[in-house]
Amino acid sequence: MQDIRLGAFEEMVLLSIAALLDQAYSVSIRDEIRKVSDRNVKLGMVHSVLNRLEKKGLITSHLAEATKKRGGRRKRYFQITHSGKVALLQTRNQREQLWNTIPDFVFKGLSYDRL
Amino acid sequence: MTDFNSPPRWATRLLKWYCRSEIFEDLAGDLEECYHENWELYGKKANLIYVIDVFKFIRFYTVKNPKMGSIIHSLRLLSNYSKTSVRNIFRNPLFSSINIFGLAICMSIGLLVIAFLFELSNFDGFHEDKENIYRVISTYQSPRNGTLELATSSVLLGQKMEEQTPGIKSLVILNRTLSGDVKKGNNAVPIRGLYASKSFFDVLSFPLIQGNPKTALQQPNTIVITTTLAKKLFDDEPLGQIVEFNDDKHFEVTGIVEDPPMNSHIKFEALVSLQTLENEAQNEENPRLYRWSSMWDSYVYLKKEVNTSEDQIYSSMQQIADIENKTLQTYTIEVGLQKLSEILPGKNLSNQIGPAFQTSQLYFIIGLTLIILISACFNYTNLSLARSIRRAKEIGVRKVLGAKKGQIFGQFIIEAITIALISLSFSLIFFYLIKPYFLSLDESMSELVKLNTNWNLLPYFLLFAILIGLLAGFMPSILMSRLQTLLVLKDTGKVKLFKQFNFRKTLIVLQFAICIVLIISTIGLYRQYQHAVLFDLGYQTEYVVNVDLQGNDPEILSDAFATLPAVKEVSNSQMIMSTGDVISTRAKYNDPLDSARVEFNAVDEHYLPLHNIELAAGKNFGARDYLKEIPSVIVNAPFLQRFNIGSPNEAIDEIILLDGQKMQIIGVLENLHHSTIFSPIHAFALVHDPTAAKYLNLKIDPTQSMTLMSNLNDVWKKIDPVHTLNAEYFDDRIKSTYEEYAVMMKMVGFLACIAILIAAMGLLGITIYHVETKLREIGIRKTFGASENQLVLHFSRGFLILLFISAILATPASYYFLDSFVISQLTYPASKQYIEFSLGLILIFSLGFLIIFWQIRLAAKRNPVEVLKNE
Repeated sequence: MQDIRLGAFEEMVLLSIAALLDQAYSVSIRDEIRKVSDRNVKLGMVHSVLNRLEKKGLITSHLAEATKKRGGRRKRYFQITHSGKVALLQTRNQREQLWNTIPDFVFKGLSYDRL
Repeated sequence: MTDFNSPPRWATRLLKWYCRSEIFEDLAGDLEECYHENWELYGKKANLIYVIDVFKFIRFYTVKNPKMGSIIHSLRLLSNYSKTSVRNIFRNPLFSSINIFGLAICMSIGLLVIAFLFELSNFDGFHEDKENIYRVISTYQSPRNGTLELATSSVLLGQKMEEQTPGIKSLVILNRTLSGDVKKGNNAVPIRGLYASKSFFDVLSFPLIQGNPKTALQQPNTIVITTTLAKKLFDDEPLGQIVEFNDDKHFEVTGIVEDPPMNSHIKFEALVSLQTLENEAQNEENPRLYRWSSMWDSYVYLKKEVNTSEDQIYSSMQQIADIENKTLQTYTIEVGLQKLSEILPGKNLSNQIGPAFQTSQLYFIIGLTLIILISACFNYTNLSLARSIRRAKEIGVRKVLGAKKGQIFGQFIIEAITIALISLSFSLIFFYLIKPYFLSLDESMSELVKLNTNWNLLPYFLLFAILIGLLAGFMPSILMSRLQTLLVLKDTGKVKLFKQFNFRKTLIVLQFAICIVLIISTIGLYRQYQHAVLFDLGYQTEYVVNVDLQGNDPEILSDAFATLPAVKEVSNSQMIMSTGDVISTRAKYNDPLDSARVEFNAVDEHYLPLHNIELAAGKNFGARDYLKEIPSVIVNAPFLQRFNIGSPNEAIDEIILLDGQKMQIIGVLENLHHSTIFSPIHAFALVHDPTAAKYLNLKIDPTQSMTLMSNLNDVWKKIDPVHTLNAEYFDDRIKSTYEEYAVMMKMVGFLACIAILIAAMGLLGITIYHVETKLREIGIRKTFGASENQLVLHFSRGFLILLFISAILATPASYYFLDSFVISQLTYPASKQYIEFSLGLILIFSLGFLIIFWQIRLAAKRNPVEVLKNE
């Protein structure tokens, strides 16, 4: 098994790409992350992470048709690769194992909605 | 969606420049998308966000990584360019020498100005916390006498500010009336210095070597001396010793301070505590020192708290001034603040504490230098363009081999910069040659700056040279890089080299216009100077030597001088007229409420005959007039007019009030110019008072003037061994009064010479190339029977028209310059003659004709066979 460690932000980006299916490009990814986190995510951060992920081979990209909105420039769409999926699953697996070891009484009386 | 808005194009271009091509497209797209989004949200702020984003995207993974290969490639190209530049310089020795020589001369002036600016900008830089130091200045405003801006202010204002104004860290009051002889044992040294209040060393950072800076100037009768003065006075430890001052005062030395540095606008040899002056003033009733109106001799410097604004201090000063101004009747005193950094160079103020240099003078110098520099750049541009026909083929070949526009441009720019850098090394030599002349232009100049070159200046010099290269090479480089390859290679002869001939013509016209303006101004200035120096003042100044008494008894000295055979007559006076010095007071006639400012001079009974001063009515002073109960006075015609006294004959024996003293008019002056030609003749009086004498006036036998000065010196030394003799011919003194014009004339004249030299060289180069391209035509014309004269006429016509155009442009320009800068300042200017205009024009024209005719004649004389046989 390959062992690729994902950073927290990398994981979020990767998840967003997976969630957005074939609509994942930098701006939409940024918006997606903004939706779920209250961090003011900057385009530059997303870009550099995308660049890193692509280098690691976790995502691939291709240029799509030109759109008027962007001054006639094409969008670069991202897709998650097989190893990307593996990496996500691995991370999730690790997390869940850890979650499972936590006894229930630790979080007793807390629920996310009421935080 | 608003499609009208698009992000700033330069930012996009920047992005394209640094960004890798494979990333650029989508990155730019993303940014633009965000931009439109932001536009909806924030409006115009989106532009700013876009720009910031572009800069934020400069990261490792976005930036093109410069390949080693391309660096080596561009280095190789650079060395190739410089090699071809050097080759080109050698291939056209005539051109290159004209260019290098011209640029070098002009750049040396540029270097001089840079060094000068550098030194001026460092003025007063040694004071700690200097951005919080201010000087209090005042403006004297009177409806009758006009306004006068002064560097001085009153002691009273300083003291009130110290008490009332919040936000002042420390404040020092200085008074400039300290001058006299300091004596220790048998050592006596004449000094000039300042009275200073106790916080002197808190405000200003003059390093105290010995003594306590807090207390050195606290007590009355204490003195702080400079190291130089200490060495002159003492052999042993000076601190704590008592020195004698002007024979009647005793000061204790409480400190030794380093000599004020060259770059300080405050200069002194000693500081005496202001308390000393204050103690003396205590004995007076309503002491002059503390009057609001005594703002002619004192200076106030202050250091404000960091968090106090200038305005806060200013408004507090204003309040003080408003209250005090109510005590004045005929005039008011406005107050102001001046930053330390704006003192030198600064605005034109009277009563400066030390050396001064006006900002306007600075701009004048910079402006003239720029004009000359531009003229030299024109030469380069012009000659390169003229030569471009020769190089068109080279460019064509390079373009065919794949050189881009930018590369051709780069090559020519580098060539220009190479030439400028070579010129720089030559200009350094010229710089050292002209430096002493610049420093001796004006007496004050060498007090102001040294113009020592150091390594700090080198980057400025290099930058300057590169800028000059860019400026000179820009036009030719642009035009060369735009050459069309096919056209050039097909037939060089047919290349109509752009429309540049008009451009070149414009440059020549401008160059000559500059020359004409400068030369006419020089001649005009020379005439005004001569006029001022030779002006008929209404009395005789020739063969009169004025000796500064420097505190000595006038009678003893005049008796001693009278024994010399060269001295025919001796008189004494309180001041020297017609040199800008003024002593004034108030005068009244019958009406006790009507007083007027009157300038006067106190003289003895020999003064009038010695100077051949003529009287319209009345008689000269008698020897004992000043002892009479009602002393005698001689006045001038404007005085009579001011008080409506009537005709000169009627005025005799009338009684007037001068400085509160009743005086009887015994004579009326005939047309005496008591002041300079800058100002009209005011109401003026000569008072008989030999005891007020500050100068001796010696009438000299012109045949024995050779050894005069040494003889005078011998006599002087016997009577006053402390001071050095200060004797000067009256005419020389008048000359130095108009020194300003002499300086301006020398400067403009020097620049005119350089401008002419450069223009002449440029014209020579252009003519040579013009003729060279027309050799064949000349040959053919000659074979068809044209005479030499016809040829000369035909080919020089174009150039002559240019000269005429420049003359037409330059004449009104120089007229305007002379009128507004020189003649308007004079009340009695030289009569307007057009000799300067015609002389200047003739000079330039004959020079231009000479060059053109010489070259064209040379070509016309050639045997046509030689020219044509190779075709």
